[in-house]
Amino acid sequence: MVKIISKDITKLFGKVVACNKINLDMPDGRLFTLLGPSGCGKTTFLRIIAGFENPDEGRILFDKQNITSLQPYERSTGMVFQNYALWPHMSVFENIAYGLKVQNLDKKEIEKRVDRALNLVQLGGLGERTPFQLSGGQQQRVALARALVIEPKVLLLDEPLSNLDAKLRLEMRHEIMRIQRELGITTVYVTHDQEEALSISDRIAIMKEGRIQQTGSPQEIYNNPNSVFVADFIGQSTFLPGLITQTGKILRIQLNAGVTLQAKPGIHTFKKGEKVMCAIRPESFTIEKPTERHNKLQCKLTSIAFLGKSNRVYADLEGENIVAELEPEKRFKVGQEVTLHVPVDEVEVFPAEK
Amino acid sequence: MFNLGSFMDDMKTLRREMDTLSWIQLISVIIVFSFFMVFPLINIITTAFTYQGAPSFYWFNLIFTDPFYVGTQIKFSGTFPFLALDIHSTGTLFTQVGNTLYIQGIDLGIVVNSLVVAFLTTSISTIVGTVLAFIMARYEFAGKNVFRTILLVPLISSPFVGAIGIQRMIGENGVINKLLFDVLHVLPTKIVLDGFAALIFIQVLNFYSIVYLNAYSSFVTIDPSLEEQGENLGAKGFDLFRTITFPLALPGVWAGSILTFILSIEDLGTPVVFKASQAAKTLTFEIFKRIFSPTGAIDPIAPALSVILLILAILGFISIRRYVVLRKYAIVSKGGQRRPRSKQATTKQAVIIYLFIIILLSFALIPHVGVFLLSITEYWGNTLLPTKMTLNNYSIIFTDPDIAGSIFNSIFSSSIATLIIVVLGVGAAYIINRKKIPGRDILDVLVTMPVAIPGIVLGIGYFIMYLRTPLSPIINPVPLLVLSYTVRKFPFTVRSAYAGLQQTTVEMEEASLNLGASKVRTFLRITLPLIAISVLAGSMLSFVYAMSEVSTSLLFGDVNPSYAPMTWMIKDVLVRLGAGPFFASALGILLMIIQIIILIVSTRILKQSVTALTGL
Repeated sequence: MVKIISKDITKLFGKVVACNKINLDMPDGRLFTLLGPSGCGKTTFLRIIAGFENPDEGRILFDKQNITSLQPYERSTGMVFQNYALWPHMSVFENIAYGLKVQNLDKKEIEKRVDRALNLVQLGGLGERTPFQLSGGQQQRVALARALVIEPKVLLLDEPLSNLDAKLRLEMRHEIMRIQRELGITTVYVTHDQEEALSISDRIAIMKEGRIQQTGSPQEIYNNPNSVFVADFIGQSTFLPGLITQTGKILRIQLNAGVTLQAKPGIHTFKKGEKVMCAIRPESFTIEKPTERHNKLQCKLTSIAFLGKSNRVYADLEGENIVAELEPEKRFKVGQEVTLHVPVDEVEVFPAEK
Repeated sequence: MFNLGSFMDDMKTLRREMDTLSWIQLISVIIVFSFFMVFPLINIITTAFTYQGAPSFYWFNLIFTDPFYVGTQIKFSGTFPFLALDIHSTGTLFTQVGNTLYIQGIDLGIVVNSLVVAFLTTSISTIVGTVLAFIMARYEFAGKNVFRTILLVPLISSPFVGAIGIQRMIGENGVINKLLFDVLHVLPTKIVLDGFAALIFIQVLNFYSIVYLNAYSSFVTIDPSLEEQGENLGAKGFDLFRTITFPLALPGVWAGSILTFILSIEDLGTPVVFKASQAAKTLTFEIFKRIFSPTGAIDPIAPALSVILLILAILGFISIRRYVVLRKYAIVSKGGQRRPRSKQATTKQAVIIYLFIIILLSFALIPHVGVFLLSITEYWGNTLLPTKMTLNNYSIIFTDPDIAGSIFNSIFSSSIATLIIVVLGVGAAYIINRKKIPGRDILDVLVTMPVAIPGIVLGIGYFIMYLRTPLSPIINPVPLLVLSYTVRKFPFTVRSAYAGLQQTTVEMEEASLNLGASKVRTFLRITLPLIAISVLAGSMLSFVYAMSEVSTSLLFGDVNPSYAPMTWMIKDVLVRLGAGPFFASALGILLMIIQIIILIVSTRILKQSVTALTGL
């Protein structure tokens, strides 16, 4: 297995910058996810690793080997395409065997390895079918087997679950995790589904407009987003704009809504008077207990959604929208005045985006 | 300005995109199209602008001042309004002789005649074709599917073959006059179409189907919600048609019309059949007359006439370039999920529809009925149907060594041409569709342009360029014949192959590259099998249209009859005394049968992809 290193990868399509100086280390044997909204350049970056696009600048290394100028067929990457790209003029067996035939392996060896691959993806015995006789989930497994059978150095998955229905998607997500862990193959996984990314990945890189916004483990990304964009894109957040009135160990922020919030400084440093954006996760809110002295937000409930384990309430704070997840025991009414509380260390503060 | 930076970028792109196989494909396409399309055309143009060894407008000056060529002369004068039209014309539109009304046309000089004929043919074909397309696209009525099939019949004959049948049907003692005047007495006078009237009549019967097919595909591919929105906002009936439907269908109608214009102006077959009449006074026939077989010498005015013909056709091509260029070509079958907007015709509408279609069909089938009757005639005196019928004509065309030989020659030349077309066409389509190389637009134009190059012009070009080379048609016309078929029928295959590639996602090939297969292996094992069906269908069309090619076949057949193809033989036996026309008709029927079989099979494969059928 190899680790993949991307150095200053830049790719332009006309005037659109699909990849802008991308520097990433994708560790050996781990599942690395590129997560971002559609059009952010994540698929382009994956195709650069596979060799289908040539970067305008930068290098891709597999361990120490520079593969930037190699042809796709010289790279030993196994790719699973978004639409699977199964060849309709070949059976399932022939599809999977193709990469082995290219290597001129003998027939017995090919049969043995195709069977093993079919079993790995739990499609034993379906080799003689043609791809269009299979369900979406099964086609996905064939595509996976076809990519894995050649024992590639890295596995590349381009939105592999986007064509499946919700239930199958969950099933295949676990299947891909199982196979990846079983083989210990370095995997690059592209998706726009943040929940999928959080649940499947060892590490995640968040992309926006061709740039990497943040890299980290799912926990780091969720708990410590480094920008308004990441906080917004991953999970749900309430955003409250304000001004810094005190710096130091505890930040004080005068919100536009009139209230003052206290927060712990994170990776950013601020000056007094600087415009900032505070982000708070829905589950960080609680109904105020009389003991709390800070971070009390008095607001009016505008709508309530019952989610089973909790209530999601939408509230209005002097014109700002607040989303909070509260225990279901409490009975709420629309129009009711409540005071919400948020702990000091659960307020994330970011420089305001222009 | 030459920009070194962008040139270097282009070079880099070329190196990355192109591999050995693509280079071979690209270079062979360029060589064939350069030597057998571009250079011959350049040769014609330079010859046309040369007089006594020096550059000159002599020939054009001659043409535009001679009433024989241009009957309408603009004269400058010293007094107001300074310009005067000097019109030379001969012939009359209507002449009544005894109990026969002759409808001919007015001769305004060869160049003007061709333009007028093409214009009228196009206008009438467009109206008929569009109305028909709208009816077929928007109304449901009993027997619609039967009509839909029969309406395509005109596609299966060249105007050449049709003209032979029509001549017999509409002549003074033809079937129509016999039936309507002598037998049924429904006409007050016999009506005879001759000259330009006959030319236009025959061409409309053959070409309305081209407008119809293109317009039909436009009407059925209009997103129904666009019209529903129009209705929702209060437009209905003709208003809706005028403001929404027709403008949306216009590109298809326009493309069909222009193609009709080009086919009409380059038609040589009909004037050849009607050469005893005014119809001979057209550009194509005039050029044809000025090549003297068997020496291959060319009257020096022929290249200049060819240039005029070429310019007229190319102007048409440019106006529809947007629709004919491969890369703009949308697959008709796309988005078939929509509910088509067609409704049950009311009784009153149905009556009008049946009347229109039946009248149209009774005209459209005249040529085929005529050719068929002639093909089983042994003797046809002054009777409604052939006086004595026989199937002998069919056995003769297979036993007479000359005639049977011509059938073999046609199949041989067309097959070789189709083979070359497939090999080059797949490569060209692949490069245009898949390779992001600079200049691919030029390649695209190059391979779609033969649609607009009149066969007679291409033939003249070959004569000028190759007469004194080992490829000379005097030595053996087959190589040039094959190459003229190759160039002329190229668009059909390249279009189908391109459509096939469009339907095959690039990921299919990338998956192969990703698994370690080389580009050549990927092309042979993945790409080719996936587009094979489309290529097959396209190549069958190329083959069938090569078989029925008239212009270059007549030209090269004249030089050396022992190598002549079927279409030349039809022309040749037609004028033989006695049973000549009957043999010609039997040959024509054979040609039609080949066409029917191949068209049915290939439309099945292409699923009625209209654009492939008409080469657009």
